Amino acid sequence: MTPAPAATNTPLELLLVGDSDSQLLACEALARFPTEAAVNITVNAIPREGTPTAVLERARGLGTFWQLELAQLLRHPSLLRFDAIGVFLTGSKLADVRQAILLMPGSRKPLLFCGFNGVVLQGFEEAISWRLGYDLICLNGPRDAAALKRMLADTPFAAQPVLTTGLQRNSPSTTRQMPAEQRRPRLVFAEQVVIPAMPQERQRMVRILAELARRSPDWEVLIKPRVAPHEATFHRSGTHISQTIQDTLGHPPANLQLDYRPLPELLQEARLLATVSSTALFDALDYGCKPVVMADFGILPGTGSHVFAGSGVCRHFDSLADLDSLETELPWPDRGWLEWMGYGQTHQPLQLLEAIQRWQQRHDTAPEPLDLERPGYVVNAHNLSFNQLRLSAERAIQARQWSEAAAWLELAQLLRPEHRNVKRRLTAVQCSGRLARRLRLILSPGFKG
Amino acid sequence: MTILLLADSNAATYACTLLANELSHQGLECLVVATQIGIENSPLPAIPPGLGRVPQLQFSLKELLLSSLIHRAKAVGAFLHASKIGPFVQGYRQICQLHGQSPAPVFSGPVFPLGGDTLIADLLPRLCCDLLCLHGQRQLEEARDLMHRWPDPVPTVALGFWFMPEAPEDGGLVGAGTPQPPHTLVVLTQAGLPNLPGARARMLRLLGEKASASPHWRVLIQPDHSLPTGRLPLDAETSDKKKLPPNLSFAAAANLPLILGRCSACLSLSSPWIFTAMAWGRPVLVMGDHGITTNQGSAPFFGSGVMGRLDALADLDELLERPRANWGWLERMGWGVHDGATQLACALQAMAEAEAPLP
Repeated sequence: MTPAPAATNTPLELLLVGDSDSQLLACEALARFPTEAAVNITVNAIPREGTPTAVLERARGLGTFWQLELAQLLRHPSLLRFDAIGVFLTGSKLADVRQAILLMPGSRKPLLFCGFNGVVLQGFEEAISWRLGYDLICLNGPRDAAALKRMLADTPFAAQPVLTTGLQRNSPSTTRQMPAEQRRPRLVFAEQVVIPAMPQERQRMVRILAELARRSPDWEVLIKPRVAPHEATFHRSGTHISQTIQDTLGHPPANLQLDYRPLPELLQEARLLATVSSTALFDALDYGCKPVVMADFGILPGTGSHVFAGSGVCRHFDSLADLDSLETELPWPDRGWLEWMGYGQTHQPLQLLEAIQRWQQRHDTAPEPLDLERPGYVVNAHNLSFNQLRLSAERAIQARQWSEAAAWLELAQLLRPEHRNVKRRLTAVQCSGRLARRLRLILSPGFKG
Repeated sequence: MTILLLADSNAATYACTLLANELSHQGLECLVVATQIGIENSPLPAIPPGLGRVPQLQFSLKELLLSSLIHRAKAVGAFLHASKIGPFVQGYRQICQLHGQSPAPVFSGPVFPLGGDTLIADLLPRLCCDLLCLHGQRQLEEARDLMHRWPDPVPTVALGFWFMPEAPEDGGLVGAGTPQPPHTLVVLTQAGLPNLPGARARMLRLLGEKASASPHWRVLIQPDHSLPTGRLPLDAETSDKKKLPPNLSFAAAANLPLILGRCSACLSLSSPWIFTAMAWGRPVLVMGDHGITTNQGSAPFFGSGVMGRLDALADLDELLERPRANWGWLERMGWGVHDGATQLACALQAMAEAEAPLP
């Protein structure tokens, strides 16, 4: 492994920005640098209702912790003192941050990078179209790198810098690997809020797990919900898994339970981790817990199961005799597949620190940011984000957050100074008098996208 | 060797007829079986011009499985909707087992070139087949990456743009090079797209504005799918047609390949027939007003080099000055393969030899 940047160097100042729990977990995974690495981390968790407290606490533990709204963050006086800013937000916000920083005065800008939160199951090309133009796009591994190369081949964007930073989310220094014989006969099922999606399929999933638990009385089957009922995640879900269990099983078998403890805690003691297509499969490996993929829903794009089909650990749970026999025959995931996905020593976040240092060293001669304005090409990050700025402003107007709305409109005005309605809306939201503001808003039509 | 080519749509029947004709040049006898009967208002002719000699039958899938015809096939090309493939292949193999007969190899794939999520979604139900028919290098790579480290990856073959004639029909191509007036813009519309609220009405309004700004052009709106009688593309039957300029009209049925060969320019959100316009050298605009979105089919067109905003066009003459399609991208999408029938014949021959008992 490449040694970490020496601690004698001036520490790198790194800002990581996330909003939902998944994005914050991605920040945490990336911040998994060796202890000797000279880097100071600041995390900004954009306030969002329902983000699990445990996730926020873990983010707080990574270094300096901020909770600024995005517009506030983009106007923060210390923003440009960072050596690098990692942005883990949804597509349009990614583009807004890139454009906002691009427009800031000053010749020395932080390296801007972005990435993905976990395994990419679908929508990769659309996601890349929002990420193009970043100084660096972090990818999981060769699978994603191949898809990106294919997408950008023969286009003016083929030079987009990328880096594979891997799928390992837990640092070896913090993971306790209990020997297999000391582990409890326990299978942890990592629930996903929208996979499978249909209520009937989710009920079937619960039934299959319950039957497997009944056939394996010496085992505990723990369902680890993605979030507690009052919490929110990246995806919007309908019925919480606790309700699905109650509706489907009434009284589940005694050895099938919900467990809300953090996944790392459960994985340290469990023998098996089961999932349909969660990135938790790779977390299990970090903790020495053997993963298995529940393949009962077939290889369908909606479940993401096709991504895991090469792992060598897909099993139909409804045809398993019991968990003892599964544990005996189940191999570890195929090494070639793990490498392809980005799990292993080849793809590590440490490479990001090296990339930042290289970028700093050649800053004076660094190439101009990728020009996204190319005839014949549409890039979401460039062509749609002006509208996104305006939509964000309209949302803030609806919520009567006048300063927030003004911030968005100021950014939009930077992009299109000649745009008259943006100017009118900005003047309107900057009015301190309620009546005058209302009148000016009526006279300047709202943007509807 | 008799090869059955099964098709359950007008587009698939049209494509299978073209493929049967090409395979006949390889000495392979083919029979096209149209399993869906009575689709009216198709944008395609029932039989490509000049190919009336290719034998065609109409059977439902059920009738076919119960007939002796299928047991005489040396190979079955199932160009059915992805959702019908699994039940058909399973039924066919079970019937063969009941007859004590080895099933013939089944090959399948999407009729039109796809990419990214739409390709993967289409391929997954077809993995029960013995051979996947794709279009170009890009799809071969995507299928290879999909099946990376799978214990039994399904073999693949690239057929190129087999869904369309290699060239416009004789005399059809006018204005080769720089198109000459009178100019016609063919707008290829798709079922239910664009799918954002109000977006189809907006597209129709914009097309009307562009047609008004360019009275020396004719704007011909051509659906790429069958429409029920009384329905118009872009839900135009619900709009005030008096507001549409006189040089905007709706195309007649069964005309699509012909007008693509004769148009001055072509525009679409993501219709696969726009590949034809590109391959035949027509100036093209892939509408990028809604950005790169998976659910509107625009993601595979990212690298086309011909995307742009419809609302940014000042007048239709601008279309003639637009950059031509990114040739490397078009070739990798399938236009780089021109010997698809030969490739398919070789793949089927190799499978037959592998199945044959050793001497």
